[in-house]
Amino acid sequence: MTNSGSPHFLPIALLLTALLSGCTTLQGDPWAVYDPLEPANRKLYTAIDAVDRKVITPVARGYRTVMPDWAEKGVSNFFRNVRRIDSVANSLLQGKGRNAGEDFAGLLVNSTLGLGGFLDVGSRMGLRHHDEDFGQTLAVWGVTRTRYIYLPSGPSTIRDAPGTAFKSWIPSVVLSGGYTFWVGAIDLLSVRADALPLSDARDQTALDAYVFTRDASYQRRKFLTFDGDPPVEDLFEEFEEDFEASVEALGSEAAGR
Amino acid sequence: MLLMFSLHLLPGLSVAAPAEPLVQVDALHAVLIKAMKHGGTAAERTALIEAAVVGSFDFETIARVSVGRDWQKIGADGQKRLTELLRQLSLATYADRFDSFTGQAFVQDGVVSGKSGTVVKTHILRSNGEKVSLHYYFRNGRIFNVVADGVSDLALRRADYGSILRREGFPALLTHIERNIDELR
Repeated sequence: MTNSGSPHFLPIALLLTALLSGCTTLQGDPWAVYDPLEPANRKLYTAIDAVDRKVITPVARGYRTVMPDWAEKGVSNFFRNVRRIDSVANSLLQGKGRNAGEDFAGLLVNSTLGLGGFLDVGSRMGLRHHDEDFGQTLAVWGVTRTRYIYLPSGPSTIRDAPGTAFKSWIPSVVLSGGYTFWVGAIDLLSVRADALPLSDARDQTALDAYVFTRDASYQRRKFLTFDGDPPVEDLFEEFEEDFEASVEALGSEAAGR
Repeated sequence: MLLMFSLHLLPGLSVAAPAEPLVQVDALHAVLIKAMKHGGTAAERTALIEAAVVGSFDFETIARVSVGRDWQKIGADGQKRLTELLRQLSLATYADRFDSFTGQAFVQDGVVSGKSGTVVKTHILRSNGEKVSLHYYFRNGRIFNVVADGVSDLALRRADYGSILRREGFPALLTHIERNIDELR
């Protein structure tokens, strides 16, 4: 029996088929925003955002206030370290052996010398976090165009959502029975507290928070896919089209007079 | 949203060519460090950074791209008003974000020149070791876009403003920006 015939691989094959077929029907800029479900996405965003502002954000701010900085950092380090296995696997899937090695070494060092991951000893030794995930792997494999979906966990895409769900699930597998409701709540709070500067910046800047969040997440995903070094020409070319459009509009107005 | 020593304030030098991108970014970073170390009020920090920011950024280009095809529709008065508001917004944003010094340092990562312009790559190194990449995009010798950790200020602004223009119109966009400025000050 081949692997593709194994029942273990069938769900993965179906998922990949669905993802790839969902993304390959899109035409246009590989890294553009595709949001055909905007009305539904907006409604969900509005609802989740209301809960976030009234409940989760105040609790996350309280968490930050109550927790000493070293403890807050330790908790954040711990869950990031547990999820690092995802980065190891996806670095390998992308053919980035060096990154996989760094993440694996960092995972080992932090899990041992770093007191189970509470201390990020690896970073001090130069073992960088690469934060790879399955969505980035799919993008590296060529699945760039993807539709936007807003989820209770935040902005995502059809391509990225399965990997995000998997990454969220890792601590409950690694810690097994130790990942109780309260441990999960602290995990969630830690993630939200780490993101407070971002949501604060959004609130200060955004006029349409939905669009701001969506577009920033697409740009950020591209940045991560290129390991922090996307082609610089892309942004020049993107804006050149705006200049040309302005000139065309001027020409049309003049012709109409 | 940043900038350089203002040649515009010096009579007779207003037509001088802009300094090299790397020099402009260095000067801008020096002023931001100075403002952070000064602390004080937002108004004081704005006064410290104003010449540098206004001299380095091409606010007309930023305004033009921010509204895309609507640039011609808003007329000369609208263009002038939007450009001025974006100048004020940039100053207020810088004065707000760079308000205290906790050991941050700006580090140069290199310059990339292409057919369309130049990119100066830098990052902020925080005292806890965290890095935030800051890439400055230059066109015709001045900054028109800043990309922080992969997120383009101009692309985001264009999408954000475009949504407001479609839903509420240009006067509402100006009102929103004015409110933003007031909240930051």
